[in-house]
Amino acid sequence: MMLQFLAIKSLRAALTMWLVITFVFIVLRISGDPTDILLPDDASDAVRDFYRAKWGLDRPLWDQYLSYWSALLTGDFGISLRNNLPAWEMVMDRAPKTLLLGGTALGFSLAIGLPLGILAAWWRGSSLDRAVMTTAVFGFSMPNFFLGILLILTFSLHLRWLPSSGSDSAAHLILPAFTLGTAFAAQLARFTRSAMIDVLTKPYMTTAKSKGASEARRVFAHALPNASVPIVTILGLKVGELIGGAVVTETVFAWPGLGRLLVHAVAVRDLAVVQAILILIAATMVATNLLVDLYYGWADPRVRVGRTKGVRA
Amino acid sequence: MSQAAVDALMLPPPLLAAEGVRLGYATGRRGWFRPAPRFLAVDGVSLTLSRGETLGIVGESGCGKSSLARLLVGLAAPEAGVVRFEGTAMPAPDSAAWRALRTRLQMVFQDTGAALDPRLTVRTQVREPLLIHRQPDPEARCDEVLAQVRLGAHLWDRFPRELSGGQVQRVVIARALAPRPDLLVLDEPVSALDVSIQAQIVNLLHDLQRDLGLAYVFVSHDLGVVRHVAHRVAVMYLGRIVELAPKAELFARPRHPYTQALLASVPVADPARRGARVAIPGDPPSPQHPPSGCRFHPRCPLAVPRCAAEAPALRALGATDVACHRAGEPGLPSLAAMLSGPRPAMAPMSVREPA
Amino acid sequence: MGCGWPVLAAPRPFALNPGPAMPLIDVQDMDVTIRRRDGTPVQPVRGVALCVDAGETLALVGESGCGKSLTCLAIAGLLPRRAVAQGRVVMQDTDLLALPRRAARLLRRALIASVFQDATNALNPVRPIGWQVAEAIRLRRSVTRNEAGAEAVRLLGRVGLPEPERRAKEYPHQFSGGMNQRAMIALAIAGRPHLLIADEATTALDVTIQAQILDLIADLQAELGMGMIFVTHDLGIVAQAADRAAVMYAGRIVETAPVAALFATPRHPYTRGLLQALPRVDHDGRPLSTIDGIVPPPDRMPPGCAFAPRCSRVGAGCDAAVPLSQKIPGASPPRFLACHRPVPVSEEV
Repeated sequence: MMLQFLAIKSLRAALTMWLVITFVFIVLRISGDPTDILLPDDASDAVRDFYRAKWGLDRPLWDQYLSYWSALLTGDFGISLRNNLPAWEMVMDRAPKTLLLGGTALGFSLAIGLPLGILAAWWRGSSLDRAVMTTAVFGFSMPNFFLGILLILTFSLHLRWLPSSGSDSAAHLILPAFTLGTAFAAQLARFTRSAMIDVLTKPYMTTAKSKGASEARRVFAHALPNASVPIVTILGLKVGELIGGAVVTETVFAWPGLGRLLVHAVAVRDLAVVQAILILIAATMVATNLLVDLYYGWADPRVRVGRTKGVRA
Repeated sequence: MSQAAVDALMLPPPLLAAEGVRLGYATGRRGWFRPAPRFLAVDGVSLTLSRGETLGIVGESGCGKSSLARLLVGLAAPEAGVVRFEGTAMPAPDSAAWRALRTRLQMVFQDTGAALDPRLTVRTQVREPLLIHRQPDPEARCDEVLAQVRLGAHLWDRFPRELSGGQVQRVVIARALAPRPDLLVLDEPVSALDVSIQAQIVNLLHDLQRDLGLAYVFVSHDLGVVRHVAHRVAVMYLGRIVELAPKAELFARPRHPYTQALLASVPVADPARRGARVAIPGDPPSPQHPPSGCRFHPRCPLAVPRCAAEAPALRALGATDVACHRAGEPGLPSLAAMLSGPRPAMAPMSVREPA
Repeated sequence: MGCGWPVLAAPRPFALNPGPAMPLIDVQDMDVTIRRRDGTPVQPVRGVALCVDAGETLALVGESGCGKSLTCLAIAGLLPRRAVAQGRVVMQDTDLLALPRRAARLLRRALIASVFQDATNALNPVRPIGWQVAEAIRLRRSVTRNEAGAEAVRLLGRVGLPEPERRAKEYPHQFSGGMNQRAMIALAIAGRPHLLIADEATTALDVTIQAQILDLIADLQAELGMGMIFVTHDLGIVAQAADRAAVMYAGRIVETAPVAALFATPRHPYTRGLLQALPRVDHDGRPLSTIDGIVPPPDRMPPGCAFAPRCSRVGAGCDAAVPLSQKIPGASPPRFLACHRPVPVSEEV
């Protein structure tokens, strides 16, 4: 059962990756000629042809596609057209920075969003609930770049407490992580609240109360394990948004991560680098989804055992 | 021509007849290398129903009584066997012939809350089938049936949410009656209602039958209600009829051990008969994996090896048709007698005193 | 018998009435008020008085919306947050409604357990059955995790679950409704409650399974000496399983009597109407008599007796004042009735 489940999920993940890689490859090739941007405007046709031949752009698309794949399978993501470094090295150089930013933002939003959502659900209808929900609407309706600039103006320019750009110290991390995490925390709070309210009205919560379990025990031993399934689902889906948000945030705060590299590489048609980043992002998303699926199986016994039992006419 | 064939020509066919009908469902999903698992909700059921008669169908959840009801009104097509209405085989669901037949044969479902469209008034809903079947003067007919089900005229232009459970059930019955059917198939029509309201609906159904000559198939798990409304009763267990008898006979002399068990299990509203109730052990088996032979044999205290090997067919025993190898054996103890008396002593509770 | 005492007419100061005559639980003049979403309060339970002795079963009977379930939730401290109970619920010389929240929870935990209608949904879907029973044990007694687990398996065996050791590791969705109700009962008796509240505990079950569960509950009650409140709409279960019955209509208890007396000579017109409306499985009957009309909603109660608009015996004075529950003179064991124009004893049911 478990093996079959894993096999199906892995197969789907592989198919997704293939589709992403192919799609990115084709879109990048038909969207413009790198020589237009990378070479000086007055470069001669001979020079252009030389570079086209050098980068393999003169060959038919299917031929380029096949050689791209054969290189990929040996772990070769190509050479940056811009500075002749291996694309994969450039990406791996930046990836830890983005991981640090994204991880901090994720941790921040979990630390804020989950408890607030749980409290709002438990005390639903109270002034705490209304306060949390109002703040949440505010939090996720504010665009990233706007919040980022607002923070820079306040804490860097006006108060001069925190640096506004770069990644040299822990202090540099605070503003971008807060910017990136705020909207996510707000959505998480709202979603946790509704998932918890759904669970709290279930009959088994009354049973837990009738056992004489304390409020904390009812929340953490009974309600949360049930509510966690939809919450983790939404977490998996939102990781994509977090990555998208990272691109904007890194630009605003001059954070030397993948987001900025991607923006830059797209602007100069640095094909190999763009592809490498997109593949990495796609792989992250696919891996996240796989983890979410595995979590279902672990957290919800009804998924684990299958649904064939107990069907009655 | 044989004598039987001549008789068949002389007698009018019954209003409704099922001959060995069978209906299965897929359960769960099809695998890559195996078909979807299936189970037979109705497995070879035969019965007849005459004009003006009420046939009660009783059984526990999963016995296939609701599926049988769907087969009898032609909402589902049998995999095997045939349902005949006035001697003609039931047309396929959703065919033109079937739609034409729908005016003669109506169904009232269990879930009355979902049976009505919340956005339409009572009058609109009752009129709808008349318009669909292009019947003459739908307005007058609509008012006529709403009066027949004794729904106060002030409620006719209300919406379903403004009605109580009993009133909704009256509307559902009125809508079924509007095209002047000969047969109503009622699937748990009073199960969701409180006793006092249930009595109103049961009496209404009784009066309608008397006045209009309707035939009913009355599906219910409530033996008290069935005893009150039915002329004949079919008892189902895991997709099969185990006993089919005139009501008086069934309740006075239940022949099948399952029927006996069912009757003995019902708590009777009479404190003087306390202790008369007995419980048969065990859960009903899963309909997807029915036991071999007689499907009741794992729970039956009267079972003999033959019961596990061979499925009993319905056979006549006096006025009763019963599917049991042992029914009618002289000196056979009744099931209630075998199960009553002191319950087997249970091990004392091993809970220690609270600390 | 402590409950032989007047219940509502003369509330006893419990301190003056000690010893074996004390009922296990004594509910006096209890109201349940629910604040609706728009802020308006409604009172679906009014002036309820009942008591239960140890080892005794009281059936709380009534149709949907009569307040019988809310009454039990109020006693067990399980009301939703928008609902408040007022009055007195006295167990072991202590008014549960007057205690601070935590103290009330701990006392109830030691004394009261509940079994609900829909056992499959009343069990946590992501926790093994054995875990849930073991938790109930651990909450009430100081035992180790392992001891509680072993105890849970023993309890599951005691309530008739086959292969309890294996079944304890399974989840509610793998059980039939009857098996889940057995597990629920094991969970309820895990703390040796003094009072077991069964709220329509067999309603969702098939009749053969219902019979098994009723037998199981009766066995356990005899073994543990629990008092029981059996909430049901099924008069058959009342007749078979209860010692006394309290009939509720529109939030009030209208008649309380020993079961035999209640069925033989119902004195409240509503009780009589219910009995005459019931299709009987044990004999072919006359046409069912009906109670016309519907139950008034709690925010539109008629003045006076709430049953008056549907009552066949309604007369002058019925709409003037709410009839108080009073002891019927001469009745032994005692009966209580809240009616201005009771059914005469001579009338046939």
